[in-house]
Amino acid sequence: MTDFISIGVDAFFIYLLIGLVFSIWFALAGAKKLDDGVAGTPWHFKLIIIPGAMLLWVFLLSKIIRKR
Amino acid sequence: MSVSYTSILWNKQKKAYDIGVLIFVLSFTVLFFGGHAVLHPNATFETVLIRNFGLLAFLMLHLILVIGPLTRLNPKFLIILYNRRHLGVTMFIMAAIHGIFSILNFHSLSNTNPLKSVFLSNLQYDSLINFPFQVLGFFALILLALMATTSHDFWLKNLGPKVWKSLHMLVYLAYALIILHVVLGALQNETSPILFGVVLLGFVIIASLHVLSGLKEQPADVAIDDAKSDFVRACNTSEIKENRAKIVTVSGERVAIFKYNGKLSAVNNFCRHQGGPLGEGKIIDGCITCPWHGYQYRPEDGQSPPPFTEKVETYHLKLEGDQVWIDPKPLPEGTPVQPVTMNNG
Amino acid sequence: MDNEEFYIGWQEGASIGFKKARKWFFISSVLLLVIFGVTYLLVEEKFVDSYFDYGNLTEIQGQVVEYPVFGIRTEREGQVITVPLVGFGKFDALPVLNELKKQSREKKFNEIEVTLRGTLIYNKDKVWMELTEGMESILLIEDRLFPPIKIESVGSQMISGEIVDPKCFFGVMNPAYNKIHRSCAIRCISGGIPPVLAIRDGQEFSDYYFVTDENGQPINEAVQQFVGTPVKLSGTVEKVDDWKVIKVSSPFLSAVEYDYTSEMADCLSYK
Repeated sequence: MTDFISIGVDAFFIYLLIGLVFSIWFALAGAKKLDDGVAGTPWHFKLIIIPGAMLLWVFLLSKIIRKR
Repeated sequence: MSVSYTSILWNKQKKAYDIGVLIFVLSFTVLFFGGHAVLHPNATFETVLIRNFGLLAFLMLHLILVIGPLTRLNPKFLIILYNRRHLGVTMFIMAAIHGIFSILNFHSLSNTNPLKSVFLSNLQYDSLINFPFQVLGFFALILLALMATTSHDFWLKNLGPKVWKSLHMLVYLAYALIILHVVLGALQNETSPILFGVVLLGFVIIASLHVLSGLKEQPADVAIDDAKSDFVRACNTSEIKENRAKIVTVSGERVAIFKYNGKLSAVNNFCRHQGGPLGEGKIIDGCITCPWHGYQYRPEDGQSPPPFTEKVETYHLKLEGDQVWIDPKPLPEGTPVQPVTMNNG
Repeated sequence: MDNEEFYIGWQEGASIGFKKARKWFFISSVLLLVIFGVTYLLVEEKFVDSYFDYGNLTEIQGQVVEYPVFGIRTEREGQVITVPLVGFGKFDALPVLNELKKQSREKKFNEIEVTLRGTLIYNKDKVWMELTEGMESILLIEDRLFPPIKIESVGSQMISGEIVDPKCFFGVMNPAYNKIHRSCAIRCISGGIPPVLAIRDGQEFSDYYFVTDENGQPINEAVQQFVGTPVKLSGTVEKVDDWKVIKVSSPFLSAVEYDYTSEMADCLSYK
């Protein structure tokens, strides 16, 4: 069980790490593709969507791909 | 509702609200740290800090959970619901301070990765009383993080109101995890039955308010159609107040029938912002106005006036004498429907 | 015309009925908060008198000992005491012990006197020291011959108590026992800090035993999952200066059991 938990925590870290990279791209460029309202928003709006994008990156990515 | 987003939209009402939240947090922190300095000077700083923010988050979660049912029982509390989002995010910040400091204090500077240690130090997952309670708190914190980070209209729009609402209903799962976290954790170190009593009282208050408000709503949820019928009788025109609505349930959906300027229109009751009950709203400046956050829709076509883009489903109505009949089939969101005119206005 | 009050958050002001509700909610929340806070402060479990002299380094001169644990034997208020030594964080100080062995060359520990510097951890009964600076903690090694240390055998006993991690228990954290401290104690003990059985007399802790295996060797691995809960240990007891040692019988699992009766007795005695 300890190995299982250990792998689980590592997977969680990797998920968040990918999420961090994705969320920076998302805040700077990706969100515009999804929502016209994002164009021209101030930097503090972009900052505030980063944590959510980190956690929900899989959902957002699939939504962007589907939209294409 | 906003066409272009910003980080935090403050207005006069929200500022008043946030000052109240700040006073709440500061007064508890001052009382708690001051009280320990006087009554328990031996308690270490980290202990007081961890307990202070844990208790604050726990108290605030209770307040957040009573607001919903309170507004169902008395609409005057809508003023508390209006900016509940800021209360929720503040509560998450309190819980995060509690969680991060606990992990640092109890698990860091050790021979194991601190986060892994949360799961691996105590392995008695098969025991109730010795269960690793920190794991429960960890999962609750993840749920609170999901809710707090998506507490912005950007997420509401891009996740869709129904997904967003379901995500935020996870607060009840988080509450259950937190209750277990407290009962199997902190309470195990206390010998006074009073603290256990307080936790139980909190649960009883929250549960009973939910049951009471649910009972109050129940009559509106009895469907008036049998799914096959074309038009069904909804109500009498005299049952609807001017500029207000009556909520009926057809085809499993709640529908709000509004009366205004001698006319009648029906729209879906579910506000596309946060799922507020439009039928408890009011016609203001010719628009249905949601009681939760003031989102507006035109009664004739269920569309928000430009530049806003929210749309709800509309329904056909007909009048026979003073009886209002409704077609249970919803029209696509934003479909214009000629309002029914009442003879006696 | 409908004159009922209606609330729209984005408008400048709210009507009086809503403002009243907000005021009522705010005042009752703050009132509840104060009542809860004061109640909590009054009924909260008392904190034991223990201290961690964080930020201050103290020098101790004396004889290095390895049994029952790595420590420094010194005089305090006319009495010979053993000050057990631990490392920074949740670790033992064995690297420093190895360094001392290296520096003292062929000499035994009863032939040298050392001066060590570290952070004191203490309560009314016991003094511990964290060798905060690692190898830099060793200040001086001089020649001095110490008489042999007397180990007194007390006989076999069965003792009820709680296994704690002594570094936190004697002062680094407060409180540092029972369920809420359990995972931290497991981390400390798995990091090599010697486990201690703490005995309660009513609400107060009053007596302490180092826990070793039947040969007096460390037993950290085996005790880990028994930390932070009431246990009964059986083994032979010895006395070394101001410390007692329980050498638990082997195999360990047969010598330890959860002490549910004492837990229940504790609950009853509090009421």
